[in-house]
Amino acid sequence: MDSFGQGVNRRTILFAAVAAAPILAFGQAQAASLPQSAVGYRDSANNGKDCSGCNLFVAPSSCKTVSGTISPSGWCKLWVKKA
Amino acid sequence: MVALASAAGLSLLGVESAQAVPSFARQTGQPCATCHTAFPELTPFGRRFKLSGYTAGGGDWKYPPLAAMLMPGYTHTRAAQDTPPGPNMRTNDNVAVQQVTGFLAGKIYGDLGAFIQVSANPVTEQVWFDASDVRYVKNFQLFGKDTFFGLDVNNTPTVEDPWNTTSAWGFPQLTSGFAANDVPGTHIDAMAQVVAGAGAYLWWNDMLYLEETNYLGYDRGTLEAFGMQPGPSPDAQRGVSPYWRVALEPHWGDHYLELGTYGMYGQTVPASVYGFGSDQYLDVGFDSQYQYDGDAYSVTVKMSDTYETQHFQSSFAQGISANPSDWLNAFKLNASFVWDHTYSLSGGYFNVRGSSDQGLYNAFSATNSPNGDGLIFDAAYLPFSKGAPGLDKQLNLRIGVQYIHYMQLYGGTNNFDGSGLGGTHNASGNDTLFLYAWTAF
Repeated sequence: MDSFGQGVNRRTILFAAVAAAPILAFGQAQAASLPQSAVGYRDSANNGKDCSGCNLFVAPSSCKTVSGTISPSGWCKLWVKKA
Repeated sequence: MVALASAAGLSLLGVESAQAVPSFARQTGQPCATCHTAFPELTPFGRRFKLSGYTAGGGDWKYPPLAAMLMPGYTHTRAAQDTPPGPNMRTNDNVAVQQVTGFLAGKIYGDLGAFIQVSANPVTEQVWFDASDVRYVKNFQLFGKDTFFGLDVNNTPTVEDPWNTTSAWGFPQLTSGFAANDVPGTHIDAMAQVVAGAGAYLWWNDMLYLEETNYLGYDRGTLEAFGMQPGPSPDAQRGVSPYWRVALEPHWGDHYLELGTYGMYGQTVPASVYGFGSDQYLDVGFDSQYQYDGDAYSVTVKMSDTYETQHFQSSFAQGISANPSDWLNAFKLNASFVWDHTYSLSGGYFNVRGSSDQGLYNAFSATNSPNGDGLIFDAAYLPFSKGAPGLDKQLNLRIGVQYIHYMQLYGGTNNFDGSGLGGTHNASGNDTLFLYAWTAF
């Protein structure tokens, strides 16, 4: 019998699930934010669209999705019209 | 033979992956088109949403990230198949729902996100744990640049990959589950949903991706529990199979260029017959993707080439392979054009070449060859990518027509297996017309 051929069995999977539980416990409750570099953020408007008119903007200077200080007159690729 | 049989089996069972999940839209408050050129192909932002752990918010949805998908279609092969491709089916012109999938896809808690699929094939009555990944991602500064560090657990090598060049999300992302013969696949392809892997990745400066993931094969009981229908003696994966990935994605405005490499090493014990050692597979691949993602249209050009070295310590000793070592090379070049996030046209060329081996390919090939190549065309209409009237963030739909033309299969054009039966024993007899209405909600 080849002792290396064991692979993953159901007990291993159960053990891994239990071991992963602390990740849930220590996870941070606040929403993860995307860095400005990942969404093409810039400080100026784009074709009349700016952050102050975006559904994701949180006055005075932050965003539901993008991290850091956000200018009301800025813009990024996630711009969606304010509802 | 192992990779060949497994890949063919997956294709026939319709075990395909699909990612176009409205739960992501509900979580982010974004229309499907933000993350997809034409789903499931990803935009630059779609890749970053995935790399950041599926956790980015922005929407008002307060409930668990659940979604579902339905994949009905009509399949016509140029020649009728020798036998029906599924229970209660005909040898040609089959209309069937080939897949129903339930998703847990989105933020689970804090920085933990998931893309988990459980799928069912109503025709074969198979229910299986489909390609899935769970990731925990931290965002920090490294050398003064934005960095994501992710821990990832998945069951399909490359399902975690953000580009559309590698095996899990490469073109075509959807094919008929009831077509006939296809080209053989590589070891990476064959490992889909039969392994469990844990790994880590780094996405640095919005440009550099580094990943290493280690896989273990499931035992027979786990394969059975996950619905993979392993039969009495499935192949066993011996020891740890490492997978690695390096990619660079510089971009200029809306133009994104990716250059990368990937690979995997695996040791397989054919049919779990121990005592002969194992077969060793080494896949080394190179890929590149160019994407222009503008407001009016997008263009994505993708290339991948995977070279596989096969050392058949066990198969050769058992007389399964005729050669102690073989090689296999799989090449893909394809492009997609999407107008107004709504109309998609795609086309591609695929080519598999490899050693002739009387043991491995004699049942399929008169020349004992794995060689095959062909063309794929796909035209699709995606009416709700920018939002569905009255059902915004609730519905996504891709209605399409796909045609696959085989120029060569198993080293031949006509009568490639020497059977003289014609039909699907000619390469072009396997040409497949597939009409589909891929629906997610």
